[in-house]
Amino acid sequence: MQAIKVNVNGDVRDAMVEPDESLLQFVRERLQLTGTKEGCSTGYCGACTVLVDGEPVNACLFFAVDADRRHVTTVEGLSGSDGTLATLQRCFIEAAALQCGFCTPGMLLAAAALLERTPSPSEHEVRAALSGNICRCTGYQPIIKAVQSAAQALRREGASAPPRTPQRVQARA
Amino acid sequence: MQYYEPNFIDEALVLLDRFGTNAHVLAGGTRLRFALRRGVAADAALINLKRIADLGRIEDTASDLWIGPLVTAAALRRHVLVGKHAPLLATTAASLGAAQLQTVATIGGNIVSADPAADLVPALIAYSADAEILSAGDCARIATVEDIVSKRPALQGRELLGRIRVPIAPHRASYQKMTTRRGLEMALVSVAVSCRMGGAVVADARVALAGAAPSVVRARGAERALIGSRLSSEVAQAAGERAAADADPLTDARASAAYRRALVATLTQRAVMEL
Amino acid sequence: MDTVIGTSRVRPDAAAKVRGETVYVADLPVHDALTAVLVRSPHRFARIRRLDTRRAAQLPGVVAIAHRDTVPDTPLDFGIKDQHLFPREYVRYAGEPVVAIAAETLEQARAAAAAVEIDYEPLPCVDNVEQALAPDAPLVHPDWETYEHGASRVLRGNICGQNRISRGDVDAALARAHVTVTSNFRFSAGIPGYIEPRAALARKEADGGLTVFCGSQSPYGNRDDLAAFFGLAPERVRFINQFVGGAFGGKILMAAEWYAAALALQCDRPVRLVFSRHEDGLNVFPRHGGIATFTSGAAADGTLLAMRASFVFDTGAYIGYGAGTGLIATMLASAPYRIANVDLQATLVYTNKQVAGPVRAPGGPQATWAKELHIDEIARRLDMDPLEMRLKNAWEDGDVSATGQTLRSVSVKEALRRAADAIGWQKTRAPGHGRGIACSWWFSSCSRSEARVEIRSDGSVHLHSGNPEVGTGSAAAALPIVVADRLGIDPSAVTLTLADTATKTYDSGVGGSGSTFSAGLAALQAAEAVRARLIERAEDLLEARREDIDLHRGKASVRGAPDHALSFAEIAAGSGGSISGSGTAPEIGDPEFDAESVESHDFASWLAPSFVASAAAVRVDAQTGRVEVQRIVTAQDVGHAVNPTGIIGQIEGGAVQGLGFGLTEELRFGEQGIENPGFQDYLMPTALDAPAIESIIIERPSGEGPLGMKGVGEPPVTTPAAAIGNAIRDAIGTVPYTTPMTPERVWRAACDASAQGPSEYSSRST
Ligand SMILES: Cc1cc2nc3c(=O)[nH]c(=O)nc-3n(C[C@H](O)[C@H](O)[C@H](O)COP(=O)(O)OP(=O)(O)OC[C@H]3O[C@@H](n4cnc5c(N)ncnc54)[C@H](O)[C@@H]3O)c2cc1C
Ligand code: FES
Ligand code: FES
Repeated sequence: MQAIKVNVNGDVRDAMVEPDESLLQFVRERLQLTGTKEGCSTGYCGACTVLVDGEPVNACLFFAVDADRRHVTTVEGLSGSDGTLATLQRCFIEAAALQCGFCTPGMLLAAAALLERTPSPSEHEVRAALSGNICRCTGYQPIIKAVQSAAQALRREGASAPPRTPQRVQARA
Repeated sequence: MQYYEPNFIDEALVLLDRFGTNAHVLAGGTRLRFALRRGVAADAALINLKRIADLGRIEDTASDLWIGPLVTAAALRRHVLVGKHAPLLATTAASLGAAQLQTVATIGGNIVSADPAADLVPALIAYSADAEILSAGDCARIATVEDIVSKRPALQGRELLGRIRVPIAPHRASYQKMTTRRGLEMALVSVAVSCRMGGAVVADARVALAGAAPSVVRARGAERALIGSRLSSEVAQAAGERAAADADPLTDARASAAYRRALVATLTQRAVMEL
Repeated sequence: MDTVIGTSRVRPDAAAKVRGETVYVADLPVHDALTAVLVRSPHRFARIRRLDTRRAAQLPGVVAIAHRDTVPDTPLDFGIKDQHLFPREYVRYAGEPVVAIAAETLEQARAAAAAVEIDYEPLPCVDNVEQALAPDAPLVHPDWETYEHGASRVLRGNICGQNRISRGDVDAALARAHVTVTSNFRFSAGIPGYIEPRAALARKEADGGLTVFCGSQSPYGNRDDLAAFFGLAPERVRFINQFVGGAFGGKILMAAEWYAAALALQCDRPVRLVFSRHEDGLNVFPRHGGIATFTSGAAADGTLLAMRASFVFDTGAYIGYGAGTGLIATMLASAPYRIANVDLQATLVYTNKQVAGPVRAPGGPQATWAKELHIDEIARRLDMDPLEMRLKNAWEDGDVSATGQTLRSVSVKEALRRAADAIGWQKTRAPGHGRGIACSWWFSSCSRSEARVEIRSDGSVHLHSGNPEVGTGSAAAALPIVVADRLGIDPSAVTLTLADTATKTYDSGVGGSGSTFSAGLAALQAAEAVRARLIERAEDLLEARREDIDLHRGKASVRGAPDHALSFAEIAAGSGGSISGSGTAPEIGDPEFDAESVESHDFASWLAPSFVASAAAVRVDAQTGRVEVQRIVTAQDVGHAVNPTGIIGQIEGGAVQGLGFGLTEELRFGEQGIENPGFQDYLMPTALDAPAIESIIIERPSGEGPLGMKGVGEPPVTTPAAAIGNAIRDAIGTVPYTTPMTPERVWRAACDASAQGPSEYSSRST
């Protein structure tokens, strides 16, 4: 077992992990953060996507030991500590960008990482950034719309105030 | 399983020497994870390279771009030196898996996995790249990427892949990748082409084919068709035909050899037209 | 009263889903649960010579082992009693579960699985439909003659289903035809593709009853099957459905539930079985692969005179829920066209593969793709515009179907025209670009469903429905709308208990485009009953006549005197604290049809049929075979759009699933069984593959459904692949008659066309 110290959604967690333990096992089983989903465990669905230092990774492939002394953001860390939904989450709801919701946590984090780097993505950029996340329910169209409207809203918010929502600060690590 | 995080290359080499075939080197781990799931010996060791800063750098000298094996696809996409000296690596890195994979997948892992359909390897071969091969007690050996990936396995048990060297020269390059679906798939066939021009004439050319042979290979016939010529649609077509003749594709569940050969011709032709 | 029906609104379950708080089976907190693993057959077909679990049972941590000798000997009954929970004498597909083991830890369960001793005697296999039908074929069920089966079921060797629809004289009409065209098609098996692998958690209760936490499309039906099998009274078995991470027909039959229950009944600890994606793939109920042949004749003006069609579907090792596919295929084969002479047949055969199931619109994408490519081929032979050809032959009100059902509220021409207009049918196409169109029909199903609405003492409104929420929103989003509409409140104020069998609101489950239809009808009735009671009570309390009482914003008020009002809480207080009402979807008989026209067909007329057309715009690169689908338009008649957001979601999701079926998805079988059980080589469309999608909702109310509704969920997955196929041919003059129409197959078709040579699955016209 190997000791790691990980900042998960703002909380520092000390834990012992197996050397080959995946970050997905770590968050779901050790931390009981079950918002992160397991769809395939091979890197081919994106349901397990979380952010490590603001960058998207497949938690099912990522080694938990590689999260040592880094910041991990899961879906539970997207909304504010007072429970207010992040802009992106709100836009997903408004655009009907989810049905069964199983792809949603991973989709949200992949989209959050995109918007952090590319505040005004083209439709193609959004599609490319989400191409590691399979959604079987929606046909993607409402998800693309949600991300684009979140981009617009975030630009407006950003123009009027400095970034303040906790997830954006965390994502930047 | 034992676990190590060596801080220096020498330390890693000693561990590799000690554990031999039971040593598992961890870079991004996107391939290694599957190997570990198939089961490992009880006395196996996982050697995580992440603390070795020297292996994660990108630097240039007057003549070469040096890329550490731990450099990720995401870093290749974004790094200014890569954009300046080896833009094809940025292009091919963008077509490797999806964003989540690019965050962690390393260039060293791409070479050492020696997948015949890898994305970064064809660009490296088109750039005539070579790499350091390190092992305890020995001096670093340099081998071309083409040679490294042609071996099975690419490295011997006690060897570590060191820095990768890409010669710097003004050039034109392009990449064509064909897949069944558009996202998140390894190439059926891909082609990387790089040319150095002498005026309007191609002074030197490298054509690398993925998915067209048991490993990523150069298409030397196609290179000959390009060298000394002026780029035109006829030259592109000839290069495509020669590349198809150079290819030695397999039939597998994803595509037949005949289709792969046809793709080699078409994609090479298009890659040349795009230069 | 303000109406909330037909307005777009936010799903009540959306906030929890974006927060990651929604609980799916694998997320249930369990501290004392045992972990289960399955031992699966490595052989496609083999006799079990010996099965010995004694060594495994001795290993540390092993608590329960289930196999053929620990469970009742009764066969499962899906119309043909051809399957046991655990195989007895033969295993019939690679991956078939043979033994289930529960242990303290996963590692211990795996170690025990490795210690199970099974001797197999491998047998020659049946690989595909042609082989199944060959005269000297091995029999997948050597004992088929001893099986009991339903009266309408055909069972003969490897044939486990056959039906036929015929009318008129096909041969005579073909002889008269100006052109006759024969087309041969092959379609691949595919997976439902839900992202959540199946899982179950089962627990024996102190009273000997059983509780099963599941993520099913049909918890009540599953509960009944499971209780009957284990000899338990249904009331003593409780299925509690969790949110479901996609289903698409793949979660109607039980998988993990069976094994978790078989183990839990042996011990006093909960048993948890969560499939990995790989295991889910081995245990999948795939969409049927198979072949189809069409021969049709048309007059010079394009009138379709006759059609002969035959399908052979590969249903795998057992019948399961596969039978409907053949029945639906013959109903689709000549529809929605007026053809006086038809002979339409479908055969289901056993092979040594996974058990094919009712994947979203069973038979729909396959039959529609084949039929609509065939229709385009006829149009091309006649040099006729494919849209015009369809409009000339398509049904209108009052026409009769192939089985003699008189059709009402038919909108197929409107659907075709609107889809064609939206895609720009008349515009010229650039080289390499093509447009295609396809249309079809589908059924609505009204199956048993019950609901109860309660107004509690605080005035809150709670709905109990047996219908599970599998993602479509048909339960969590649509039912509150229906209830709220009747009670004059906002849908977000309706709280829900869904699909917990302890609430005794039976529901047949999600399937057959019937959820909003049946469960909606039950909820509507329950809400009506509560409404009537509220008004009745308000009549006394407000001293007003019931005609003058309005329900509005959670209050009963007297019309014209808005201040003279009582809240629901006040009315409930005056009625002993709560008011409740129940509803049941009524049995609606199937429409009449001509019994003479069918053989072995028990689905020969369709209730409240819906109509759908899709048009596609593509760009084809003939040199690589790459097809880029730029746009898909689907025009769908839903009768009455109760939940437009949900409908658009079904159309858009259906378009991309249809695209996957048409272009990239193929479940491959080899010597070891399924070659691509995971997502790595089974290529579902990504965001980069999905086109822009336009949804056109047509509302031509049916006379039969509640509120005029027609089924919504399945039709939009049936037409897109056909429209894409026709668009490919429009672009490059040829199209592969094999799905998926992969780049290699398109490339090959293009090569063959330029070489003028016939391809294996192409067409012959005279
Ligand atoms: C979902 C998915 C999609 C993929 N798509 C693509 C794709 O589109 N294109 C593509 O090219 N590849 C793809 N791959 C393959 C893989 O991700 C890449 O090859 C990647 O570059 C491997 O890098 P890594 O750092 O993850 O390697 P690792 O898994 O860490 O290593 C791979 C192997 O190399 C060894 N190794 C790594 N570094 C060294 C070193 N410096 N010295 C000695 N040995 C070393 C490891 O021990 C291991 O055996 C995909 C993989 C997955 C899981
Ligand atoms: S679970 Fe990690 S990518 Fe599917
Ligand atoms: S909403 Fe179900 S998979 Fe995306």
